Amino acid sequence: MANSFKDKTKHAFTHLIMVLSSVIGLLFATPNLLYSREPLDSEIEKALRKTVTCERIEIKTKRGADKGGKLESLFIKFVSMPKNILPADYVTVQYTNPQIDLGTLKKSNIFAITSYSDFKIGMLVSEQTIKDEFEKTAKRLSFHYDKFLIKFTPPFIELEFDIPVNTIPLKDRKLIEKFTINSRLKGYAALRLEVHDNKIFVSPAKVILNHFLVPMPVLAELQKRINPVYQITRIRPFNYDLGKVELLNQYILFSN
Amino acid sequence: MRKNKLRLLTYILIVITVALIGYVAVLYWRGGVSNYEPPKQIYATSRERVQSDLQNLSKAVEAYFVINMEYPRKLELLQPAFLDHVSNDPLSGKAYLYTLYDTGGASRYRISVPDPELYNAKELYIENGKLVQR
Repeated sequence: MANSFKDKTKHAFTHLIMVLSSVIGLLFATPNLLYSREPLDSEIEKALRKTVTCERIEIKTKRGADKGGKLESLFIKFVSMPKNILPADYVTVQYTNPQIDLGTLKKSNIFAITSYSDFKIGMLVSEQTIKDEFEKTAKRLSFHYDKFLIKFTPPFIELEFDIPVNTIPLKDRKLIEKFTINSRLKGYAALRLEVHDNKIFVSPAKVILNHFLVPMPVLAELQKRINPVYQITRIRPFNYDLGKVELLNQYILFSN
Repeated sequence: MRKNKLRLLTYILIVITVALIGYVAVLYWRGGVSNYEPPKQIYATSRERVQSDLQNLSKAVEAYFVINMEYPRKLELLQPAFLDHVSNDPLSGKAYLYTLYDTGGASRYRISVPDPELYNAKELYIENGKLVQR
């Protein structure tokens, strides 16, 4: 009886010690985990703020379950990029197994990655942003138009327009002058986008000008003259080449 | 002889003129407001349609990732921002299978055809943008 009581007390005591040690361990470990994760995110954000202008930067890190908590993934999201790069609503950069140069980050506040196993970048531009940008640019360039509608119908961008011919550069105007009536161009275009080496190319799939379907040889010549339509500036410090573009319901997705 | 040659030349000229008028008429006829629509996508086979479906779903999943920094938990979340609707497998009529998993620190997704045998394949899926059929 006495032995059983002794055993029970010993067992309870051992159990108590185990619980206490885990609680103490947790208490010490939690601040360490917090210290090692949160400041890294904010230090990366601070460093990127110096080079990238945008409305908001969000950082997300994913660590391995092992003891050291090795950084497995690093996600960086930029919200509302300035139009001198690309008027993108969202840009997300993803590194897999990145090695961050912590010395440079902490000492000089510079974000640098020494190695990684995979790098992905995706940029989203919404239909609304394109419409807004078009209106702003038209105002800035005093480009007058009676109608200019932009619509996303994957995989095409549809345009419906009624514009004066003098808004088209002289060198390109000659090519379409046979379709001009009363110095106006009224019509429709279904375009596809392509991206090579950070340059956007437009490929017209169907163009109608003043009730005439523009024949393919004229479209091919037009395509040669207008391309590339846009050069996307790289976001520093990242090094990438955008090579894919996809048209979605309300967005255009550019990626490497 | 000369008369015959002249007649032949006249015929050729008439044919060329008619062809030109016809060509211009076709361009005019196809340029009406009712033709303000993009070229139609024509799929010769169900397999082509499935490949296109998988690619479209994959693009939408990638786009979702750009905004949310994670892949969607279900494909329905891709509507309406990225897709009009999530289509089903054309032959079986069943929904495409969507799975998420992690390998080597990277998140991955797979969208598969529910009955690949219908397409004479053991597997037919798209994984992180790469189409696999065997």
